[in-house]
Amino acid sequence: MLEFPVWNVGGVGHGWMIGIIATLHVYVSHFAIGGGLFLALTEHYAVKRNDLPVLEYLRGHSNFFMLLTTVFGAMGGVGIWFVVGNANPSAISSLIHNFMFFWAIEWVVFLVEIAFAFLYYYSWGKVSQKFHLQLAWWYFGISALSLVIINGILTFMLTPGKWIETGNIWDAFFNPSYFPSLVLRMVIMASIAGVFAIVTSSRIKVDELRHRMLHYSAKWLIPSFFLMPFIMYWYFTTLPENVASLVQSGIDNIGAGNLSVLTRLLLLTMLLSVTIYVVSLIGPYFNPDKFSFGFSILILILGLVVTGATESMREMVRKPYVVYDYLYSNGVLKSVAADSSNYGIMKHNKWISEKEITSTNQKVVGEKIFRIQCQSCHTATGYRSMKDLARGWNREFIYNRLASLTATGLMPPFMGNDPERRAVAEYIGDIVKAPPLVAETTK
Amino acid sequence: MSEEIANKNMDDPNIAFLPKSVRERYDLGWIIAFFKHKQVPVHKYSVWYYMGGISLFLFLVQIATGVLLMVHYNTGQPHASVQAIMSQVDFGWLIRSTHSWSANLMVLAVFVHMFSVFFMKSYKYPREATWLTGFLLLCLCLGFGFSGYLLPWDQLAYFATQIGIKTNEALPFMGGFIADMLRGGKELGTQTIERFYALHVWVLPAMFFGVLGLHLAFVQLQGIHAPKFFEDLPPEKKKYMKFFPDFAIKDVYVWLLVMNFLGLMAVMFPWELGAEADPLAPAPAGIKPEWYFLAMFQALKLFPAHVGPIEGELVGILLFSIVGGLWVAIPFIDSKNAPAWRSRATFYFGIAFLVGFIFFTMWGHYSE
Amino acid sequence: MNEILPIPSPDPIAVPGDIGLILFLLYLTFFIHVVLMNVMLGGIFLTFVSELVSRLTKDGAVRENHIHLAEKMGHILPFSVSLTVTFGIAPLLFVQSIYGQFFYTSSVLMATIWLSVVLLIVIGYYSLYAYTRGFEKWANRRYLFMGLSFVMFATIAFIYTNNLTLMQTPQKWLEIYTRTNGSGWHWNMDEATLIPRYLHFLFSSFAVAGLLVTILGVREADVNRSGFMKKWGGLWFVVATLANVAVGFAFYFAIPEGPRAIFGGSEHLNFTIAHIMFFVGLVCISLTAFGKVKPAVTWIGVVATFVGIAEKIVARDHLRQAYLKEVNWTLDGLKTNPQTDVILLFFAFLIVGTGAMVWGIVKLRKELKAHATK
Repeated sequence: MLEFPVWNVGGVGHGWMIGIIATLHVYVSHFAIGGGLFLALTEHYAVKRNDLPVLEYLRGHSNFFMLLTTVFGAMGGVGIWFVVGNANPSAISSLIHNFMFFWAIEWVVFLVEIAFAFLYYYSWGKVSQKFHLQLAWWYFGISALSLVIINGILTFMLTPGKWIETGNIWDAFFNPSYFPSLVLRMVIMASIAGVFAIVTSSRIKVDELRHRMLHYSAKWLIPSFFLMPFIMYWYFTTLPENVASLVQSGIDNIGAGNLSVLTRLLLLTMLLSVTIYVVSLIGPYFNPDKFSFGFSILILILGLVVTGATESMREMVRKPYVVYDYLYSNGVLKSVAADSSNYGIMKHNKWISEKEITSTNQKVVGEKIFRIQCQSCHTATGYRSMKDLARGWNREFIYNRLASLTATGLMPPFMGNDPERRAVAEYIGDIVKAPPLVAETTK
Repeated sequence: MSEEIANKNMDDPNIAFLPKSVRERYDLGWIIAFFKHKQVPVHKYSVWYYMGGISLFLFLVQIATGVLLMVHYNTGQPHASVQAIMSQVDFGWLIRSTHSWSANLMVLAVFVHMFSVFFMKSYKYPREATWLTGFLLLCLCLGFGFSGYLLPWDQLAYFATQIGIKTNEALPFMGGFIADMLRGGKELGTQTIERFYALHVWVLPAMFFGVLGLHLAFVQLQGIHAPKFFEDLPPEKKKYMKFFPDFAIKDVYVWLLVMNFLGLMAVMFPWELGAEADPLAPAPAGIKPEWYFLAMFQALKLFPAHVGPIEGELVGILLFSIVGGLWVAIPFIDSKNAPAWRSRATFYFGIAFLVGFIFFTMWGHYSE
Repeated sequence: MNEILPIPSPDPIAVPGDIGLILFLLYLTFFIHVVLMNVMLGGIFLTFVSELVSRLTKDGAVRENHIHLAEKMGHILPFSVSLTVTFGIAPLLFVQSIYGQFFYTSSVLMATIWLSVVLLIVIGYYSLYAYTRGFEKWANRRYLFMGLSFVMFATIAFIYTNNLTLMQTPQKWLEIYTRTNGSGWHWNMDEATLIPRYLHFLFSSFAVAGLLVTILGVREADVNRSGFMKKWGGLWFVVATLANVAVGFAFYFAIPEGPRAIFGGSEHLNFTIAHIMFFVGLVCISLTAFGKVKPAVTWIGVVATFVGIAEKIVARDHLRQAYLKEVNWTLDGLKTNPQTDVILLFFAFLIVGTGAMVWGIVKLRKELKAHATK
C-alpha cells in the first residue's frame, strides 16, 4: 500500500474533485429511479382516466428525463469511477476486487435499464397504451434493481460488518446498514422525482394543466417529509459505535460553539430540507398559480445542495477510513498500519526518486511524503490546508503531532520512520512559516 | 366601531380569512384592499424589485439577532462576553455568526438595491425624496457596520477601527472633534466601546426606524416605479402583478432563500473571534477595513502625501465628498425636464461609479 | 516483483474469479465495445463528410442521397454512443481486476487528461442530440454539431490510446511522475507506437462505419438509395482497410522487438487467420459495392470482418502481456479466490437481462406493426 503515485490537484483537494462529480451524479441517478416511478404511476392514472393533457405532459417530461439520465446521469457514474480511480486507486481497487461480479451484475442491470429507457421514450404514441405502460413499469423495476445492487457496495464502505473477520462476500454485501440505506434512498428519490417534476410542470403553457401538475408533483415530497426522521434514526442505529458516538456528541453539543463539520452539515441539511418542503407547500401545492419556473430552479438547486451535504456527511462519518476498519482514506491498510513508526515509506514507495534523506533534500522529500500520505485529504494552502490547520505550531510540535495522529480519531497514523517524519514536519513548518528548528532550540 | 362598519367588514372578501372576532372589532379591509390595489410592473428587470425587500428582511434579522446578542453582551468585558456568547450560551455562536453575516449581506443588498434603482432611473421625479431617504439609510447602514465591527474588541476590530477614525480625523475644521467624540478622547480605548455601543443599539436604530418609515411610506404612496421602456408600452402590453398576494408570496420565497443562504454561510463559515485587542501591541500587518469601506480606503492610498500645500488624504476626502454629493443630487441633476444628454451623462456616471467601486474593492482585497 | 520500477503490488484482495473466465469476458465485452465504438466514431466522421459533400456538390441527386444518409445516421448515432459507453464499462471493469496495478498507475499519471474524457463524452453526446433534434431547424449549421462531436470522440480515442500504451511501459513512469510533479498532465507522445496504434483504431472505425452503411444499403428498399449506400459505404470500407494495411505495418515495426516476437511465435496463427478474414471481407464488400451480388455475399464479408476483429482483440491483449513480461509480470502471479455463487448470479442476470431486452424489442416490433396498420 501507499505504492501508487498521487495526483496533485493543488489547492482544490481530492475531496472537492470527487464531491462535485459525486453530488451531481447522485442527484441525477436518484432522479433516474424516482423519476421512473413518477412516469409509471402518473401514466397509470392518466391512462385510467383517459387524461390526454397529462399524457402529453408526460411525453415532454420523459424527453427531458431521457436526455438527462441516459447522458448526464450515466456519464456521471463513469465520472465517479474515473475520479476516484485517479484520486484513490487503492480504494477503487479494493472495491473492484471484492465486488467485481456485483459490479458486473450492476452493469447488466444498467444495460437493460438504458435499453428500456429508450424503448419507453421512443415508443410514445406508436404502441398500445397498455404496452407503453408496461414498459414504464419495467423501466422502474429495473432501475430500482440497480439501486438494490449498488447499495450493497456503497453501504459496505461505512459498515463492512462481519466481512472484516469472515471475508465472505455476502457478509460484505448484506452489511448492517444495507436495508436502512436502501429504504432511505427509495424515499429520497421519490422526492427528487417530485422536485424535477415541479421544474418541468412549471414550464407547461396551459394554466389549468400547469396548476394541476404542480400540485400533483409537490405531493411527491410528502413521503420523505414524514418518513425521513424515522428512517434516519434506524440508519443511525446500524452505524459503527465510534461513528454513532461521533454523531451523538455532535448533536449534544450543537448549542456550544465547538462544532464539528459533521454537525454543521447536519444543521444545514435540516435548514435546507425544511425550506424545500415549505416552499413546495406554499408554492406548487397551495398556490400553483403563483409559482414560476425561476423558483422551481431554486428548489432544484436547494435539493442539489442538500444532496451534496448529505453525501459529504456520509463521507465524513467514515473518517479516517475509506472502507471502515479495513482501509484508511489515504490507501493504507489497517493491518499494515500497526507498525507505522518502523514502516519506512521511502523503502515501500518507489515514487520518491531520492533514496535517502539529507539536509539538502529534506524538504523536497518531505513534500513528496506529504503528497503520498496526506494529500488524499489535505492540501498545503487550499482545502483543509496545513496553513490553517497547523497555524502557529512550531516545528517540534508538528514533529510530535505527526506521531500521534490517530489520537484525533479522525486520522490514520503517519507511516514512516523518524527521519521521514522529521522531513514532513520541516515541510509543514515551512508552510506555516515556523521559525527554523535551530533558532527554537537556542531560544 | 359602528354597526355599519362591522357589517361591511363581515362581508368584505378581502379579509374573509380573518376570524369573525377580529373582523367585527377592527376595520382592516382597507389595508388588504390597498395592498391588493398596489401593482408591481412585470418586465425583464422585475427581478431587481426584490432587492429592497431583501434588504428589509436582513434588517429584521439584524434586529432579532441583535436583541438576543444584547442580552449577553457586556461593554465592561467586551471580548470576554462575546467569547462567552460563542462558547457558553446555547446557540450563541449561531446568533453571532448570523448577525455578522447578515450585516454584510445587508450592506451588499442595499448596494445592489441602490444601483438597480439608479439604473432603472427610479430616482426621477416625483421620487426624489425616496432616493434621498434611501441614501440616508445606506449611510446609517454603514454606520451600523462601522460601530458594530468594534464591539467584539479583538485585534482586527481594534486596528481597523483605528484606521477608520484616523481617516476621519484628516477632515478640516471638525475632523479632530468628530474623531475625539467617537473615541471619547484622544485614544481608542474601552470608553470608545460605550459610545459605539450606544450608537449601535440606540441612536442608529432610532434614526433608522424613522427614515425607513418615511422611505417605505413614499414607496406606498407613489407606487412602484417602472422603467421608461415599460411606461412607453401601449397599455394593453403593460403587464402587472398584484402586490398582494402575487408579489408578496414571491417575496416570501426570496426571503426563505436568503435565509437559507444566510444559514449556509453562518453555519459553514462561522464568524471567528480573534485575540483580545491589545492597544500596545504593534498593528498586525496588512490590516484593512471591512469590504464596504475598502474601495475608499484603497483609492485614498493613490493620493500623494501632499498636493501642493494641502495634505493628500484631505484632497482625497474632499474629492469623495464631491462625488458623494453628486450622487445624492442625482434626482436634481437628471431632473424632470433635464435634456437627454444630462440623462445619458448620469447613466455613464453611474457606470463609472459602479466599475470604480468594484475595481477598487477588488484591488484593495488582493493588495498586500 | 520488480525491485527498481515503481510498480504497485497487486491488490491484497484476490481476483474473485478464474483468470481464464475473466479474460474471456474481457474479450467478449471488449469486442462488442469496439464494434459499437467503431460504428459511433467512424459513423460520426462519415456523416460529417456526407454533410460536407451534400453542401459542396452541384448534383441534386447526390445531395439528396447524402442528406438522406445523414438523417438516417443521425438517428442511429446517439444510440451507438450510449451502447458504446455501456459496453465500455464491462471491459474496463475486467481489465482493472487483472491489470489494476498498471492501469490505475498510468491513469493517475495522466489523471487530469483521463478525467476530461467524461466531460468530452457529455459534450460529444449532447451535440449529437442537437444534430438529430435540430436536423430541420438548424439545417444550415447542423454539420457543425457533427464536426464538434467528431472532435470530442476522436480526442477521447486518442486519450485512451495514450493511457493504454502508458500502462504497459512502467519503465517510463518514474521519470514522468517526477517531471510532471503529479499534475496528471502527461501526453504519452514519446511512445513510438502511439500514433500508428491510434490511426489503426481510427481507420478501423472508418471501415466499420462503411460496413454499416453498406449493410443499410443492402437492406434499403429504394433501389437508387440502396445503390448509393452500398457504393459509398463500400468505398469507405475498402479505402480505410487498405490504409490500415500501411498503418498496420508502421504499428508493427514500432513495437519493441521483445513483445513483437510473439507475432512470429504464439500469435502467428491468430494473426494469419485475422488477415485472411480481412481479405475475405475486403473481397466480399468490394463485390457488394461495385458489382451485383446476393446479400449473402455481403453477410459473409461482415462475418469475416468481425472474426478478424475478434482475433485482433485477442492478439492485442496478448501483446500487452508480452509487454508486461518485460518487467517480469505474468498472469500466473495473480492470486484468485473465485466467488462461484456471485459468478453464477452474474450469469443468471446476464441471461434474464438479455431475455428481457429481447422480449421488449420483439414485443415492440409487433406493437409497432399493429399500431401502424390501425
